[in-house]
Amino acid sequence: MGMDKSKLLKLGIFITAGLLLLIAGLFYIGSRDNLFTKTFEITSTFSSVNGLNEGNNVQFAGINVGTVKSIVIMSTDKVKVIMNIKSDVRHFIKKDSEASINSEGLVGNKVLMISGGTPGSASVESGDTLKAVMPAQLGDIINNLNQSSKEAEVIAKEISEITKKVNQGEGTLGRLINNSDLYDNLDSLTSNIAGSTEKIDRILAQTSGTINTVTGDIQSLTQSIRTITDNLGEITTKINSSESFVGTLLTDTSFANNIKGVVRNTNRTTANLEMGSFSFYQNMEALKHNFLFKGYFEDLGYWDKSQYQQTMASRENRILNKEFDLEQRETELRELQIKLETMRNELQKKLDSLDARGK
Amino acid sequence: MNTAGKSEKTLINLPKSLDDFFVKTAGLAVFAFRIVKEAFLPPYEISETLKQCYMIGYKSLPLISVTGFIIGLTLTLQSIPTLQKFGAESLVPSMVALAVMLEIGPVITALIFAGKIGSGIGAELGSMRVTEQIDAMEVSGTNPFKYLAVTRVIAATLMLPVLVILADAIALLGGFLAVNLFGGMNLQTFIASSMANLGFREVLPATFKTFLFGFGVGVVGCYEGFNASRGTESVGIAANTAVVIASLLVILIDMVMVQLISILF
Amino acid sequence: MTDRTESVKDNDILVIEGLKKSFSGNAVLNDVDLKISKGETVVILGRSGTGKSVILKCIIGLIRPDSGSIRIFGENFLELNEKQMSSLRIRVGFLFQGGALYDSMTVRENLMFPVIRQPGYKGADLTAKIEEMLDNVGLLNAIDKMPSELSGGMQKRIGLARTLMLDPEIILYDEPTTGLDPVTSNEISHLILDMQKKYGVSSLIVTHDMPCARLVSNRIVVLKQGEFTAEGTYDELERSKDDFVSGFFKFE
Repeated sequence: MGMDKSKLLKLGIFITAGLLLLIAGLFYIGSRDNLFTKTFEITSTFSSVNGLNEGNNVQFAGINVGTVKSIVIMSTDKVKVIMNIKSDVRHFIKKDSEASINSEGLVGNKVLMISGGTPGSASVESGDTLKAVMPAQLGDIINNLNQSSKEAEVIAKEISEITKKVNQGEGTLGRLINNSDLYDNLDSLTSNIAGSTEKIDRILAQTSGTINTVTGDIQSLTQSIRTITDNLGEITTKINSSESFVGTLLTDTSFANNIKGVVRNTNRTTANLEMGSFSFYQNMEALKHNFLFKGYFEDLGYWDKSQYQQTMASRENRILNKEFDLEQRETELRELQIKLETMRNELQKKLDSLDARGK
Repeated sequence: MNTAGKSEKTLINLPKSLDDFFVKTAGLAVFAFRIVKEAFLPPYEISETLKQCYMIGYKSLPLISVTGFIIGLTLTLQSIPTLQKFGAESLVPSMVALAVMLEIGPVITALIFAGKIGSGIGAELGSMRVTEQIDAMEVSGTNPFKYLAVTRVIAATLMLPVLVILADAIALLGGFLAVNLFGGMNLQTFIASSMANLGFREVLPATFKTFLFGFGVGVVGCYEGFNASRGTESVGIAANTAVVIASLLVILIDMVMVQLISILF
Repeated sequence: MTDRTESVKDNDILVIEGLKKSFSGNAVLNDVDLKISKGETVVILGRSGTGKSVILKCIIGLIRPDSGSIRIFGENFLELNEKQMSSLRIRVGFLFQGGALYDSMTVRENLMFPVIRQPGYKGADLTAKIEEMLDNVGLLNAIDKMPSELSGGMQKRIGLARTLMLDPEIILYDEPTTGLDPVTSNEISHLILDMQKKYGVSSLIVTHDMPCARLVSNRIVVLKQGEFTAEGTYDELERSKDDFVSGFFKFE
């Protein structure tokens, strides 16, 4: 009837195990609910707490440092939130720290977040009231998104204007068009426009950066071509004007080689221009099919086939003009080369005859 | 003329009419009240209560452990694909812990307890009633109500919460194992993550209701056993009825408690 | 009523007067009067299901009668509070039909149980007494067995030994030989007689086992329709002209 010792032992172990687990669990939860740690109280007054509950976490720098102790309605637009904060983080929280209410996740609990405050300012004391930053409403977020897409539109317009300028601009079209970054960026920009506003902002910033770079490249290339052309002109003048200079020129074959290099470069640039006009055409086509720019192109009347063809034709004309220009310069250079060649030959003959006489 | 005999001989386990239902409900209520009253009146059957704690609590541990482990394992295995669809695998431990600690742990354990202990008490006391052991006890100067019923109800009330706590722990262990079948997660992370959404507000009421479950199962088992009529088949009826009513009572208490808790807290 | 009370003598251990009991409007005991003196053995005869056991259970307080009085050792049993009733019950032994041994306890624990549960028990060693009682019923070797290991007859004998543990002054036997073979029945009957002689206890036996009744009874009462219709010694009733009474004796 009574219990023998081994049964009592087993029962004892059984009950102890259960109680230990219970106590361990209670302490685990308790330590999180700050029941067993030293805490102090601070308050903050919001106009709306957005579903914050008693017992929700209070975070400082993303770390749980306490819980919401109670929420009291003070008046129609004032809700006082009293929170328990662990004593050991007190000196991190400054008197000018701000409290705001955020969500842990899309469907997560609400958390009360305390911002860092100004370094060096005084730490909070028990009973202090933190300045409340109103929680962001869903409406606000949508407004932000609207704002962002408006900005995106403006930027898109600017891009188009740049494209237009490039289109109308002189010379180095190929460089811009061969740079696929712009197009890629635009593409990812459009696919991400529905995403976070932050991302959009970043991509837009990158895009304008790229455009700036390209514009810079164009300027420098134009500059260098201009320099070469100037140089050529100078040389021709010098050759034509100064007989004594011809001698030096003839003994120095490297100059002739330089001239050859310039001519080769000119040829390549011309080829690039041709290539460029083709890929620009392709890119423009892709851009126009993109939903984001479609409207813009339509507004602009670009979507009109004949007008587009006209534009293309005029652009081609301009490129052809440029090519013609370059060809002319090439011809001039070739003529100059031939002249130089003959001059050298004559000089050589003179030298030979002088030599013969001297012997 | 023989109406009393007729109702005794029935093999139907649930009350067959509304009258019977009310009579049984009243009988149970009176019985439960008497248990509570007598539990506080001396003499206290401490040694017998301890023995019943051993029989009712310790002896149920293997069954409860196996059940708890499997429940935790399967619940987790089934939750993972669903939560993965939402990209919320990291919520698995938290969800499993919440489900286990608040509802599945207490209720499943209590239902198994009702099956094992409710029927056990019903059959044991029923056969003691039928073979006049309860009468024999009474005539030899021992209050059978105190000695048999009160001790068992106290043991059931105190032991079920212990069993539930252990079952919860074992179920979480099963859950931990299941999570590790899919991908690694160390125990510490698992515990932290599973406890993330549990507070006293959740755990204490859930623990409190297990006392009521235990009390309900004990009372029903004893009531059915004490009220077994003569004849061997009535022992089976007592055991069977005890399980049916005890299981039903567990669900009812759970429903009431969940509502009550949500109102009170 | 007054004349009945006056007739109670000092050596009357049990006096039952005007006992009535009905279940669900079905009268089982109509008007039962019975008197048992010290050392006397009375057998109640009656057909199955006519309420013989109900009389015994009323006496011990397991069933509360609708009306009537039961005086045990001069005390009005029905008017006692629970505590007084409990201490009086100890002086009354009750042997249940099946022995009613506690399944979960060994024979030794079964015999100890009534004694150690008494408020006055101080932890005395009961081994000697348990062995004496088991020796009385011839089952000393069963001391550490569980009831389930014993036959029906053995269980009844252990039940008797357990009843004797509290040194009762009167023992109520509820069909002590029912369900046993004639040899075992005879053994039990002799045992009842032996205990009666050895401890001088009075007995009230409910049975329809006639050899048992002949062996142990000083007096026999016959219960018919809730009343005792005949009373006398075995031999007197055997010669009764009443068909109902003589019906019990035509067993051979």
